[in-house]
Amino acid sequence: MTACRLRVASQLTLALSLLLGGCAALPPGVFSTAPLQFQQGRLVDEPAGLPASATVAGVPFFSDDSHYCGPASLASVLVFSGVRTTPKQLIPQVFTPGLEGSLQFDLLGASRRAGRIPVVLPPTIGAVFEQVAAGSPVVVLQKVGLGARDWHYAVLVAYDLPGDRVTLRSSTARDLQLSIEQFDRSWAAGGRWAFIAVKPGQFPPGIDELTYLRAVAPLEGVAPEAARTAYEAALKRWPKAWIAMMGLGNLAYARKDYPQAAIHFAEAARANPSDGDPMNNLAQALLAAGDWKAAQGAIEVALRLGQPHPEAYRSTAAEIAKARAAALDPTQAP
Amino acid sequence: MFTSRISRQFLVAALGVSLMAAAPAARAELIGTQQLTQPQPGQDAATLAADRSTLDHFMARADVQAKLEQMGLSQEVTQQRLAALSNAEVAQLAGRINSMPAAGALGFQEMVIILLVAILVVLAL
Repeated sequence: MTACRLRVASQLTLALSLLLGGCAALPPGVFSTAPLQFQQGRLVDEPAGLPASATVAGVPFFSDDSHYCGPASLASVLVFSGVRTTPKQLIPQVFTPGLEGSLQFDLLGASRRAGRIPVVLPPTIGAVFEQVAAGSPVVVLQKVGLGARDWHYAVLVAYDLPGDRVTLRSSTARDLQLSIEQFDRSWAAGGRWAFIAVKPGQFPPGIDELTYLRAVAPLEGVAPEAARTAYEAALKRWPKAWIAMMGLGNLAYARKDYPQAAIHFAEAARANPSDGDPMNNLAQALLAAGDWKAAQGAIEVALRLGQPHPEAYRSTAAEIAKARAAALDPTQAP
Repeated sequence: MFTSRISRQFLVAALGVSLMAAAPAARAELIGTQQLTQPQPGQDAATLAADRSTLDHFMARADVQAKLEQMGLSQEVTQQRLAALSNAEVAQLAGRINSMPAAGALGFQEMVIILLVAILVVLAL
């Protein structure tokens, strides 16, 4: 069951013992001392309407008997959500040979590169079971064994409250069964870290607008098409989501489609007229499109609103002033 | 102090990492989507630019590159992983590194090893 330990050269042991909290990004105060969330056959803070049991059907299994539980678990959820990949293809993206293991954020980063939105779940069993009930397999970080670094990734695919069972795709076991308490102990030791990989256009149950957009935004650089699909879906669900409009504008700007960027920023400004940021970006897009006059009009509005990034507005204004001076300078006229 | 200077240099570098990880909105004056979704307002444009150049210098150091290679990560792989990180994730890590125990009982060599591994961990994420 201990499939991928993080073993390190002795000279680095000290460093890593200090850093494991860092590389594991454990939320403070939720180590193994945290109270168990399943007591006397009942789930603490059970979400309303949670089914007594649920199984996600058709989650692929990639057996691993070495250090590759990270790539194997990630491949499992990515392939399930329609990405064509294998653990072998994911190794260069997530596995760190010098640590003989995979770091948590590498799993999140590789999900983004595959065009999926990683959403780290709140550290409760209820939150994880809710995702399973909604049809999403969940990658979990567990501590297995007594060694200081016996960390392990697995994929939770089923739970059964009356039967006191969870089912995991784990190392070489396609259907590893643990009691809920066993699972919670192993999971709590790692800070109850879990995430799902969401396909753009789909929404995990109960997710709010800002949490969703915060999860989508880091995709812009590595998977712009996936980010665009996600922002467009967000706008269908939350028509006033001005941050999604800003995201579409920033994507258009990044691909140098400045007129399209300006349209999105103008929509964002209309949706959130008291915030200076959309007007600032509109000014930038207009300037990049070569229309310094319109850019000047936009930045004046941003400066008048004055918040929340006044320094950026002033820099934009200075840039526009420079473009204006160059345009009005007769020595540079065509 | 020597060690605290290293910590500071490292932290600045780590913060720089977060900027490089940002979406390719290379212009500091364009407000990035990640800035808008952060719980707290981000850094201003001047800090961003300063950090970016500090990081470039740090990454160009031969000892840093050697350490990464030693851990099995090529420069190319490191850059790719870096690009897929969110600003918030790197800032979270930078915060942890900042809260590491001060030099105190540790010698200079150990401090350097810790910092280099820390950089690696940040980059490898």
